[in-house]
Amino acid sequence: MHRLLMEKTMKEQHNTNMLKTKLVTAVCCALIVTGCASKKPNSNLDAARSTFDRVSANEVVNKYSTEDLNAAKIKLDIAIDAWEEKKSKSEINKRAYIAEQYALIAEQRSTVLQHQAQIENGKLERTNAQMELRVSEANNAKQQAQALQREVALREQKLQAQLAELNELKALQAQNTDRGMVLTLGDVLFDTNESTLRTGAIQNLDKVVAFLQKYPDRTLQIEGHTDDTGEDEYNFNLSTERALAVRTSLQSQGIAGSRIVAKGLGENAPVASNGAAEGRQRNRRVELIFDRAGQNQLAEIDE
Amino acid sequence: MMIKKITTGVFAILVITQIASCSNGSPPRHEMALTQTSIRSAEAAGAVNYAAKPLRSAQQRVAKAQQFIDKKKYDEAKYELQMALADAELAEASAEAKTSQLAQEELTQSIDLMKKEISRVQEN
Repeated sequence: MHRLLMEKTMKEQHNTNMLKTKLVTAVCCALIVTGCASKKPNSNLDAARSTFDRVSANEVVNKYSTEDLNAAKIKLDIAIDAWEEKKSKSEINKRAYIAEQYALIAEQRSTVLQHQAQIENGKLERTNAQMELRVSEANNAKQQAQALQREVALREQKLQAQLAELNELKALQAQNTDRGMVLTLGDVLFDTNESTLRTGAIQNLDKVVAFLQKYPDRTLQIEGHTDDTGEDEYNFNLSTERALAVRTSLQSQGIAGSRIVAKGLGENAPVASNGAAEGRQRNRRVELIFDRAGQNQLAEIDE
Repeated sequence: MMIKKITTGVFAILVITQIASCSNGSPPRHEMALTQTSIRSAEAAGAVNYAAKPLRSAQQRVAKAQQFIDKKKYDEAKYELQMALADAELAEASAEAKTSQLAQEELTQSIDLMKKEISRVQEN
Protein backbone atom coordinates (compact mmCIF):
# COMPACT_ATOMS: atom_id res chain seq x y z
CA MET A 1 0.00 0.00 0.00
CA HIS A 2 2.69 2.38 1.09
CA ARG A 3 4.83 1.34 -1.83
CA LEU A 4 1.96 1.87 -4.15
CA LEU A 5 1.42 5.35 -2.76
CA MET A 6 5.09 6.10 -3.11
CA GLU A 7 5.06 4.89 -6.63
CA LYS A 8 2.07 7.08 -7.44
CA THR A 9 3.72 10.12 -5.83
CA MET A 10 6.84 9.43 -7.83
CA LYS A 11 4.82 9.13 -10.96
CA GLU A 12 3.15 12.41 -10.25
CA GLN A 13 6.48 13.92 -9.46
CA HIS A 14 7.72 12.61 -12.75
CA ASN A 15 4.66 13.96 -14.54
CA THR A 16 5.11 17.37 -12.96
CA ASN A 17 8.73 17.38 -13.98
CA MET A 18 7.80 16.38 -17.50
CA LEU A 19 5.18 19.17 -17.62
CA LYS A 20 7.65 21.71 -16.30
CA THR A 21 10.20 20.71 -18.90
CA LYS A 22 7.60 20.96 -21.63
CA LEU A 23 6.39 24.30 -20.36
CA VAL A 24 9.91 25.72 -20.21
CA THR A 25 10.58 24.44 -23.70
CA ALA A 26 7.33 25.96 -24.97
CA VAL A 27 8.06 29.32 -23.35
CA CYS A 28 11.59 29.27 -24.75
CA CYS A 29 10.30 28.42 -28.17
CA ALA A 30 7.73 31.20 -27.96
CA LEU A 31 10.38 33.67 -26.85
CA ILE A 32 12.67 32.64 -29.67
CA VAL A 33 9.88 32.90 -32.21
CA THR A 34 8.81 36.31 -30.94
CA GLY A 35 12.40 37.49 -30.77
CA CYS A 36 13.06 36.38 -34.31
CA ALA A 37 9.89 38.01 -35.68
CA SER A 38 10.89 41.59 -36.45
CA LYS A 39 8.01 44.01 -37.24
CA LYS A 40 7.10 42.91 -40.75
CA PRO A 41 5.44 45.57 -42.90
CA ASN A 42 1.67 45.09 -43.15
CA SER A 43 0.08 46.26 -46.41
CA ASN A 44 -3.38 46.65 -44.84
CA LEU A 45 -1.99 48.85 -42.11
CA ASP A 46 -0.11 50.92 -44.68
CA ALA A 47 -3.30 51.33 -46.68
CA ALA A 48 -5.20 52.42 -43.55
CA ARG A 49 -2.41 54.87 -42.72
CA SER A 50 -2.41 56.41 -46.20
CA THR A 51 -6.20 56.66 -46.26
CA PHE A 52 -6.11 58.40 -42.90
CA ASP A 53 -3.37 60.78 -44.12
CA ARG A 54 -5.39 61.63 -47.21
CA VAL A 55 -8.59 62.20 -45.20
CA SER A 56 -6.85 64.25 -42.50
CA ALA A 57 -5.41 66.52 -45.20
CA ASN A 58 -8.93 67.15 -46.56
CA GLU A 59 -10.07 70.71 -45.85
CA VAL A 60 -13.74 69.77 -45.71
CA VAL A 61 -13.02 67.07 -43.12
CA ASN A 62 -11.01 69.52 -41.03
CA LYS A 63 -13.81 72.05 -41.22
CA TYR A 64 -16.76 69.79 -40.43
CA SER A 65 -15.62 66.44 -38.95
CA THR A 66 -12.72 66.86 -36.55
CA GLU A 67 -14.39 64.59 -34.00
CA ASP A 68 -14.82 61.80 -36.49
CA LEU A 69 -11.25 62.34 -37.62
CA ASN A 70 -10.07 62.00 -34.01
CA ALA A 71 -12.08 58.79 -33.64
CA ALA A 72 -10.43 57.45 -36.80
CA LYS A 73 -7.03 58.44 -35.41
CA ILE A 74 -7.70 56.43 -32.24
CA LYS A 75 -8.66 53.38 -34.34
CA LEU A 76 -5.49 53.80 -36.39
CA ASP A 77 -3.38 54.08 -33.22
CA ILE A 78 -4.91 50.82 -31.94
CA ALA A 79 -3.94 49.12 -35.19
CA ILE A 80 -0.43 50.55 -35.04
CA ASP A 81 -0.11 49.44 -31.41
CA ALA A 82 -1.17 45.92 -32.39
CA TRP A 83 1.50 45.93 -35.06
CA GLU A 84 4.18 47.29 -32.72
CA GLU A 85 3.22 44.72 -30.11
CA LYS A 86 3.65 42.13 -32.86
CA LYS A 87 0.12 40.84 -32.60
CA SER A 88 -1.01 38.24 -35.12
CA LYS A 89 -1.24 39.29 -38.75
CA SER A 90 -4.96 38.53 -38.69
CA GLU A 91 -5.51 40.85 -35.74
CA ILE A 92 -3.46 43.65 -37.27
CA ASN A 93 -5.43 43.26 -40.52
CA LYS A 94 -8.73 43.51 -38.69
CA ARG A 95 -7.60 46.57 -36.72
CA ALA A 96 -6.29 48.16 -39.90
CA TYR A 97 -9.57 47.46 -41.70
CA ILE A 98 -11.57 49.09 -38.92
CA ALA A 99 -9.20 52.09 -38.86
CA GLU A 100 -9.52 52.60 -42.61
CA GLN A 101 -13.33 52.37 -42.49
CA TYR A 102 -13.47 55.04 -39.77
CA ALA A 103 -11.22 57.34 -41.79
CA LEU A 104 -13.66 56.93 -44.70
CA ILE A 105 -16.60 57.51 -42.34
CA ALA A 106 -15.05 60.82 -41.26
CA GLU A 107 -14.68 61.77 -44.91
CA GLN A 108 -18.28 60.87 -45.83
CA ARG A 109 -19.74 62.60 -42.77
CA SER A 110 -17.84 65.79 -43.56
CA THR A 111 -19.38 65.68 -47.06
CA VAL A 112 -22.83 65.31 -45.52
CA LEU A 113 -22.25 68.30 -43.23
CA GLN A 114 -20.86 70.35 -46.10
CA HIS A 115 -23.96 69.59 -48.19
CA GLN A 116 -26.21 70.44 -45.27
CA ALA A 117 -24.46 73.77 -44.84
CA GLN A 118 -24.83 74.44 -48.57
CA ILE A 119 -28.50 73.50 -48.34
CA GLU A 120 -29.02 75.96 -45.47
CA ASN A 121 -27.42 78.73 -47.53
CA GLY A 122 -29.43 77.62 -50.55
CA LYS A 123 -32.70 77.84 -48.62
CA LEU A 124 -31.88 81.43 -47.69
CA GLU A 125 -30.98 82.18 -51.28
CA ARG A 126 -34.20 80.55 -52.45
CA THR A 127 -36.27 82.61 -50.00
CA ASN A 128 -34.61 85.78 -51.27
CA ALA A 129 -35.20 84.73 -54.85
CA GLN A 130 -38.85 83.98 -54.08
CA MET A 131 -39.26 87.41 -52.56
CA GLU A 132 -37.54 89.05 -55.51
CA LEU A 133 -39.77 87.12 -57.89
CA ARG A 134 -42.90 88.22 -56.05
CA VAL A 135 -41.77 91.85 -56.01
CA SER A 136 -41.01 91.69 -59.72
CA GLU A 137 -44.35 90.09 -60.47
CA ALA A 138 -46.14 92.67 -58.33
CA ASN A 139 -44.32 95.46 -60.16
CA ASN A 140 -45.32 93.93 -63.46
CA ALA A 141 -48.93 93.65 -62.37
CA LYS A 142 -48.85 97.25 -61.20
CA GLN A 143 -47.41 98.41 -64.50
CA GLN A 144 -49.99 96.43 -66.41
CA ALA A 145 -52.76 97.91 -64.29
CA GLN A 146 -51.40 101.39 -64.89
CA ALA A 147 -51.18 100.75 -68.63
CA LEU A 148 -54.76 99.52 -68.58
CA GLN A 149 -55.86 102.60 -66.64
CA ARG A 150 -54.11 104.82 -69.14
CA GLU A 151 -55.81 102.99 -71.99
CA VAL A 152 -59.19 103.27 -70.34
CA ALA A 153 -58.60 106.98 -69.69
CA LEU A 154 -57.54 107.44 -73.29
CA ARG A 155 -60.67 105.73 -74.61
CA GLU A 156 -62.77 107.75 -72.21
CA GLN A 157 -61.14 110.94 -73.47
CA LYS A 158 -61.72 109.91 -77.07
CA LEU A 159 -65.32 109.06 -76.32
CA GLN A 160 -65.84 112.41 -74.65
CA ALA A 161 -64.28 114.18 -77.61
CA GLN A 162 -66.54 112.32 -80.03
CA LEU A 163 -69.60 113.01 -77.92
CA ALA A 164 -68.65 116.69 -77.85
CA GLU A 165 -68.26 116.61 -81.63
CA LEU A 166 -71.63 114.98 -82.01
CA ASN A 167 -73.21 117.56 -79.74
CA GLU A 168 -71.71 120.35 -81.78
CA LEU A 169 -73.16 118.80 -84.92
CA LYS A 170 -76.52 118.61 -83.21
CA ALA A 171 -76.11 122.27 -82.22
CA LEU A 172 -75.73 123.01 -85.95
CA GLN A 173 -79.21 121.48 -86.30
CA ALA A 174 -77.75 118.42 -88.03
CA GLN A 175 -80.01 115.34 -88.02
CA ASN A 176 -78.81 111.88 -87.29
CA THR A 177 -79.88 109.81 -90.30
CA ASP A 178 -78.85 106.50 -91.77
CA ARG A 179 -76.59 108.48 -94.15
CA GLY A 180 -74.85 110.11 -91.19
CA MET A 181 -75.26 113.52 -89.63
CA VAL A 182 -77.10 115.64 -92.16
CA LEU A 183 -77.46 119.41 -91.97
CA THR A 184 -80.20 120.74 -94.24
CA LEU A 185 -79.84 124.31 -95.36
CA GLY A 186 -83.15 125.64 -96.71
CA ASP A 187 -83.68 127.88 -99.72
CA VAL A 188 -82.20 130.77 -97.75
CA LEU A 189 -78.77 130.46 -99.42
CA PHE A 190 -79.76 131.29 -103.01
CA ASP A 191 -82.19 133.52 -104.87
CA THR A 192 -84.53 131.79 -107.29
CA ASN A 193 -82.72 130.37 -110.31
CA GLU A 194 -79.43 131.73 -108.98
CA SER A 195 -76.37 129.74 -108.07
CA THR A 196 -74.53 132.58 -106.33
CA LEU A 197 -74.69 132.61 -102.58
CA ARG A 198 -76.60 135.46 -101.06
CA THR A 199 -74.41 137.90 -99.19
CA GLY A 200 -75.89 136.94 -95.82
CA ALA A 201 -75.72 133.23 -96.61
CA ILE A 202 -71.99 133.06 -96.11
CA GLN A 203 -72.54 133.86 -92.42
CA ASN A 204 -74.90 130.88 -92.25
CA LEU A 205 -71.95 128.68 -93.24
CA ASP A 206 -69.64 130.17 -90.57
CA LYS A 207 -70.64 127.57 -87.99
CA VAL A 208 -69.95 124.78 -90.48
CA VAL A 209 -66.52 126.24 -91.25
CA ALA A 210 -65.76 126.51 -87.55
CA PHE A 211 -66.81 122.89 -87.06
CA LEU A 212 -64.69 121.59 -89.95
CA GLN A 213 -61.71 123.58 -88.67
CA LYS A 214 -62.13 122.14 -85.21
CA TYR A 215 -62.41 118.58 -86.51
CA PRO A 216 -59.93 118.25 -89.35
CA ASP A 217 -60.63 114.50 -89.72
CA ARG A 218 -64.19 115.14 -90.82
CA THR A 219 -65.08 115.12 -94.49
CA LEU A 220 -68.17 116.57 -96.06
CA GLN A 221 -70.59 115.74 -98.89
CA ILE A 222 -72.58 118.61 -100.31
CA GLU A 223 -75.77 117.74 -102.15
CA GLY A 224 -77.81 120.29 -104.07
CA HIS A 225 -81.57 119.68 -104.52
CA THR A 226 -84.38 121.49 -106.36
CA ASP A 227 -88.16 121.24 -106.63
CA ASP A 228 -89.74 119.84 -109.81
CA THR A 229 -90.41 123.21 -111.41
CA GLY A 230 -88.61 123.41 -114.78
CA GLU A 231 -86.60 120.95 -116.87
CA ASP A 232 -84.81 118.04 -115.30
CA GLU A 233 -81.48 118.92 -116.84
CA TYR A 234 -81.80 122.56 -115.84
CA ASN A 235 -82.60 121.58 -112.29
CA PHE A 236 -79.70 119.11 -112.22
CA ASN A 237 -77.27 121.75 -113.44
CA LEU A 238 -78.64 124.34 -111.03
CA SER A 239 -78.35 122.00 -108.06
CA THR A 240 -74.79 121.04 -109.08
CA GLU A 241 -73.73 124.66 -109.43
CA ARG A 242 -75.25 125.51 -106.06
CA ALA A 243 -73.43 122.58 -104.38
CA LEU A 244 -70.19 123.70 -106.01
CA ALA A 245 -70.84 127.29 -104.85
CA VAL A 246 -71.10 126.08 -101.25
CA ARG A 247 -67.91 124.09 -101.72
CA THR A 248 -66.10 127.12 -103.13
CA SER A 249 -67.30 129.26 -100.27
CA LEU A 250 -66.02 126.73 -97.71
CA GLN A 251 -62.71 126.47 -99.58
CA SER A 252 -62.36 130.23 -99.61
CA GLN A 253 -62.67 130.13 -95.82
CA GLY A 254 -59.77 127.74 -95.54
CA ILE A 255 -61.30 124.24 -95.74
CA ALA A 256 -59.29 121.93 -97.99
CA GLY A 257 -61.11 120.97 -101.20
CA SER A 258 -59.97 117.38 -100.75
CA ARG A 259 -62.28 117.10 -97.73
CA ILE A 260 -65.35 118.17 -99.67
CA VAL A 261 -67.32 116.35 -102.36
CA ALA A 262 -70.07 118.40 -104.07
CA LYS A 263 -72.79 117.09 -106.39
CA GLY A 264 -76.22 118.05 -107.67
CA LEU A 265 -79.20 115.69 -107.59
CA GLY A 266 -81.71 118.03 -109.25
CA GLU A 267 -85.33 117.20 -108.48
CA ASN A 268 -84.69 113.45 -108.04
CA ALA A 269 -84.52 113.27 -104.23
CA PRO A 270 -87.45 115.23 -102.83
CA VAL A 271 -88.20 115.22 -99.10
CA ALA A 272 -91.77 116.47 -99.55
CA SER A 273 -94.52 116.61 -102.17
CA ASN A 274 -94.03 119.16 -104.93
CA GLY A 275 -97.80 119.62 -105.14
CA ALA A 276 -97.89 122.52 -102.70
CA ALA A 277 -95.71 125.58 -102.35
CA GLU A 278 -94.68 124.56 -98.85
CA GLY A 279 -93.47 121.17 -100.08
CA ARG A 280 -91.57 122.68 -102.99
CA GLN A 281 -89.87 125.08 -100.57
CA ARG A 282 -88.72 122.15 -98.46
CA ASN A 283 -87.40 120.36 -101.53
CA ARG A 284 -85.28 123.37 -102.53
CA ARG A 285 -82.36 122.81 -100.30
CA VAL A 286 -78.67 122.04 -99.85
CA GLU A 287 -77.73 119.09 -97.62
CA LEU A 288 -74.40 118.87 -95.84
CA ILE A 289 -73.58 115.27 -94.94
CA PHE A 290 -70.84 114.87 -92.40
CA ASP A 291 -69.02 111.62 -92.85
CA ARG A 292 -69.98 108.73 -90.64
CA ALA A 293 -66.50 107.63 -89.67
CA GLY A 294 -66.73 109.37 -86.30
CA GLN A 295 -70.10 107.75 -85.59
CA ASN A 296 -68.76 104.29 -86.50
CA GLN A 297 -65.99 104.79 -83.98
CA LEU A 298 -68.58 105.78 -81.44
CA ALA A 299 -70.48 102.59 -82.17
CA GLU A 300 -67.28 100.62 -81.58
CA ILE A 301 -66.71 102.29 -78.27
CA ASP A 302 -70.32 101.69 -77.20
CA GLU A 303 -69.78 98.00 -77.71
CA MET B 1 4.94 5.06 -20.45
CA MET B 2 2.68 5.24 -23.50
CA ILE B 3 -0.36 5.59 -21.29
CA LYS B 4 1.42 8.31 -19.34
CA LYS B 5 2.12 10.29 -22.48
CA ILE B 6 -1.43 9.99 -23.66
CA THR B 7 -2.73 11.09 -20.29
CA THR B 8 -0.39 14.04 -20.34
CA GLY B 9 -1.51 14.94 -23.84
CA VAL B 10 -5.18 14.73 -22.94
CA PHE B 11 -4.52 16.80 -19.83
CA ALA B 12 -2.70 19.45 -21.80
CA ILE B 13 -5.53 19.66 -24.34
CA LEU B 14 -8.06 19.97 -21.55
CA VAL B 15 -6.05 22.79 -19.97
CA ILE B 16 -5.68 24.60 -23.29
CA THR B 17 -9.38 24.25 -24.08
CA GLN B 18 -10.19 25.50 -20.60
CA ILE B 19 -7.97 28.53 -21.05
CA ALA B 20 -9.33 29.19 -24.48
CA SER B 21 -12.94 29.07 -23.41
CA CYS B 22 -12.21 31.18 -20.37
CA SER B 23 -10.68 33.97 -22.45
CA ASN B 24 -13.75 34.01 -24.73
CA GLY B 25 -16.11 35.03 -21.92
CA SER B 26 -19.75 35.64 -22.81
CA PRO B 27 -21.39 36.02 -26.27
CA PRO B 28 -21.27 39.64 -27.59
CA ARG B 29 -25.01 40.24 -27.44
CA HIS B 30 -24.67 43.96 -26.98
CA GLU B 31 -22.30 44.33 -29.96
CA MET B 32 -24.63 42.24 -32.12
CA ALA B 33 -27.64 44.40 -31.27
CA LEU B 34 -25.67 47.61 -31.82
CA THR B 35 -24.42 46.46 -35.23
CA GLN B 36 -27.86 45.34 -36.37
CA THR B 37 -29.33 48.69 -35.36
CA SER B 38 -26.60 50.42 -37.30
CA ILE B 39 -27.35 48.31 -40.40
CA ARG B 40 -31.06 49.17 -40.20
CA SER B 41 -30.19 52.81 -39.85
CA ALA B 42 -27.94 52.60 -42.93
CA GLU B 43 -30.74 50.95 -44.88
CA ALA B 44 -33.13 53.70 -43.80
CA ALA B 45 -30.61 56.28 -45.05
CA GLY B 46 -30.73 54.74 -48.52
CA ALA B 47 -27.63 52.55 -48.36
CA VAL B 48 -29.32 49.85 -50.46
CA ASN B 49 -29.17 52.23 -53.41
CA TYR B 50 -26.26 54.50 -52.61
CA ALA B 51 -23.81 52.41 -50.52
CA ALA B 52 -24.53 48.82 -51.46
CA LYS B 53 -20.94 47.59 -51.04
CA PRO B 54 -20.28 48.49 -47.40
CA LEU B 55 -23.86 47.55 -46.51
CA ARG B 56 -23.46 44.08 -47.99
CA SER B 57 -20.09 43.72 -46.26
CA ALA B 58 -21.70 44.61 -42.92
CA GLN B 59 -24.49 42.06 -43.45
CA GLN B 60 -22.04 39.32 -44.39
CA ARG B 61 -19.89 40.02 -41.35
CA VAL B 62 -22.90 39.88 -39.05
CA ALA B 63 -23.79 36.48 -40.50
CA LYS B 64 -20.22 35.35 -39.98
CA ALA B 65 -20.25 36.69 -36.41
CA GLN B 66 -23.40 34.68 -35.73
CA GLN B 67 -21.61 31.54 -36.94
CA PHE B 68 -18.74 32.26 -34.54
CA ILE B 69 -21.20 32.78 -31.70
CA ASP B 70 -22.83 29.44 -32.52
CA LYS B 71 -19.38 27.86 -32.21
CA LYS B 72 -18.80 29.82 -29.00
CA LYS B 73 -15.88 31.63 -30.62
CA TYR B 74 -16.84 34.89 -28.99
CA ASP B 75 -13.58 36.77 -29.57
CA GLU B 76 -13.71 36.16 -33.29
CA ALA B 77 -17.37 37.14 -33.23
CA LYS B 78 -16.51 40.41 -31.49
CA TYR B 79 -13.90 41.31 -34.10
CA GLU B 80 -16.30 40.49 -36.88
CA LEU B 81 -18.95 42.67 -35.29
CA GLN B 82 -16.54 45.56 -34.86
CA MET B 83 -15.74 45.41 -38.56
CA ALA B 84 -19.42 45.03 -39.41
CA LEU B 85 -20.23 48.12 -37.32
CA ALA B 86 -17.55 50.11 -39.16
CA ASP B 87 -19.02 48.92 -42.49
CA ALA B 88 -22.56 49.84 -41.46
CA GLU B 89 -21.53 53.29 -40.25
CA LEU B 90 -19.64 53.88 -43.49
CA ALA B 91 -22.67 52.70 -45.47
CA GLU B 92 -24.93 55.14 -43.62
CA ALA B 93 -22.51 58.06 -43.98
CA SER B 94 -21.98 57.33 -47.69
CA ALA B 95 -25.73 57.08 -48.35
CA GLU B 96 -26.30 60.34 -46.48
CA ALA B 97 -23.50 61.99 -48.44
CA LYS B 98 -25.18 60.94 -51.67
CA THR B 99 -28.73 61.92 -50.68
CA SER B 100 -27.59 65.25 -49.27
CA GLN B 101 -25.69 65.87 -52.51
CA LEU B 102 -28.83 65.16 -54.52
CA ALA B 103 -30.88 67.46 -52.30
CA GLN B 104 -28.26 70.18 -52.61
CA GLU B 105 -28.19 69.85 -56.41
CA GLU B 106 -31.98 69.92 -56.60
CA LEU B 107 -32.07 73.07 -54.50
CA THR B 108 -29.40 74.72 -56.66
CA GLN B 109 -31.41 73.85 -59.75
CA SER B 110 -34.60 75.29 -58.31
CA ILE B 111 -32.74 78.49 -57.39
CA ASP B 112 -31.31 78.74 -60.91
CA LEU B 113 -34.79 78.28 -62.37
CA MET B 114 -36.15 80.96 -60.09
CA LYS B 115 -33.39 83.36 -61.07
CA LYS B 116 -34.19 82.77 -64.73
CA GLU B 117 -37.85 83.41 -63.95
CA ILE B 118 -36.90 86.63 -62.18
CA SER B 119 -34.91 87.95 -65.13
CA ARG B 120 -37.74 86.89 -67.47
CA VAL B 121 -40.30 88.75 -65.35
CA GLN B 122 -38.05 91.80 -65.03
CA GLU B 123 -37.53 91.95 -68.77
CA ASN B 124 -41.27 92.18 -69.34
